Amino acid sequence: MGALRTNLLVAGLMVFFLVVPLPQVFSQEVTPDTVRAWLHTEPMATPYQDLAPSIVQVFEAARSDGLPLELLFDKLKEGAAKKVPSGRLKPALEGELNRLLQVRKVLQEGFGKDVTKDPFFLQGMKVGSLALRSGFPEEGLRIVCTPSMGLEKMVSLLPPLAEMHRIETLPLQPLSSFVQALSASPIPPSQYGTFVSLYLKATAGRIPPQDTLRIMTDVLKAGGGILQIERELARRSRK
Amino acid sequence: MEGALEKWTDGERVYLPQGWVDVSVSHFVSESFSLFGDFSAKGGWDTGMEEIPYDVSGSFSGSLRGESFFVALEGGLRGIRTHDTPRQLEAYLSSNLSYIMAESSLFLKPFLKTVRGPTDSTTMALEGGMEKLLGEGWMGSLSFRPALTYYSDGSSEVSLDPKLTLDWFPSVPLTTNIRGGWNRRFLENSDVRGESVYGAMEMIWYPTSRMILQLDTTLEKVYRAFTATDKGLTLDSELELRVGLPYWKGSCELIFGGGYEWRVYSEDPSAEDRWFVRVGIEWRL
Repeated sequence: MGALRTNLLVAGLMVFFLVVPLPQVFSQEVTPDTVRAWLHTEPMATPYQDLAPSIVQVFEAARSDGLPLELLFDKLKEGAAKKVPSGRLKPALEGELNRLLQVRKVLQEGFGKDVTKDPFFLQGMKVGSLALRSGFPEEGLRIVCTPSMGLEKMVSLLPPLAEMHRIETLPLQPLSSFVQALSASPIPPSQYGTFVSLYLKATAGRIPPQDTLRIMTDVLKAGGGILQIERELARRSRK
Repeated sequence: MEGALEKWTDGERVYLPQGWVDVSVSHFVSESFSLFGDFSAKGGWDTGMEEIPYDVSGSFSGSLRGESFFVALEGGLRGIRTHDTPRQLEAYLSSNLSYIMAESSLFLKPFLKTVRGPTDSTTMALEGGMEKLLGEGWMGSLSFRPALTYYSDGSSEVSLDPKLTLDWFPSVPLTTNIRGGWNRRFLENSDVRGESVYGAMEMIWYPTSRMILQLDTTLEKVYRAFTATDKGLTLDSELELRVGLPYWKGSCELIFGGGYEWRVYSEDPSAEDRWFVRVGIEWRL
């Protein structure tokens, strides 16, 4: 049940971050003092009073690593709202901290050191962390983080890819070709979510994932779009 | 392999333990040219039949795509013997010719099929239509499929089948297909053999990890026919749940399925129905 809840939560958050621009979500800078004050005043945080100093330590560690604290604070609020047992809250925050460090490293390797100044950086960090948490591989994240894709498009593409990977494991080599073809195609990022249900239909139609990605890639390279991908996958599916 | 329990319209209940093997081969010759082959064999036992049921098929297809066109050709053979299909051999050849634009396409699908069995027949059909993207995640298609069938007793039949289809592909793991149409079949002397309107819905949903749920439902209203199905109503539904087993090398899925078909005729108030339930397991290598 716990795994089911986690999957549904991650899927829900993926959809949320697909439709809500993050700059609207994170608008106030968070510091360790903000967290300390919240822990002392927020009724939801009452069960964690004994843990407050060690929780703040996690935030101080994150700040010393140069991470924006908004995402970690979001995680803390999420844990408190879900009434996570106090013994599990700090490990969950540390796990999130490690994921965020991992994602920032990949973003900087893919888009350059200045990516932290990009208006979509926080959004990229959030979807990257959610993707890793849902089981999407770090190597897959590297494939999506390329200059030709760009951070803005990556933010729109990663949640659908993580969902597709949850349905059936995405093979990395064909994924790389698909991402390259998609980055060069005129399909707008607002339509990337459609790939989730297309991939689901192909999986239900018993098409192997590498063939699904190959068909999508070849259609995109030929200048085709969503309509042609759907028709070619439908043709290949087992009835 | 699977085991199924089926209740026929005459009330008899039968058991069908069956096994199947599917083989798919793909060869992407280039970015624009690909070849696919499929072979499927299903057989087992049917306690309601004296002979062994089977369904064996093989098909081969090739497709060529360019910036504004898509051409596919497919041919296949099928040998089948089941409770409701007498032993017969089918061969077909189908094609898909599409002209592709940015958000729409026009298509033509010629089709030729011949059946050799208790009654031999040959069917020729030509489906034409257009498909269009209708906003984000929506696709629609409108098509018309006239077909002509010749039977070995010298009779022939024409059918007309206009169809409207709507597909929904949202950003979540769910997809639906809704279609509706009208079908009219008439003999060479213009006598109407059957006429019906139908609506159908297919849904595929991935509710949580390792589960795929599929639902197919068709509702058909028959207006006129030579048989006892005169002015009848048919509801046909099938549900299938596939659950992937964790910690399994490769892919292994448990299959739970069921179906229900219900018919009622205007001249006979007692409806008849048939149903089945099935449980199976499938390994993918």
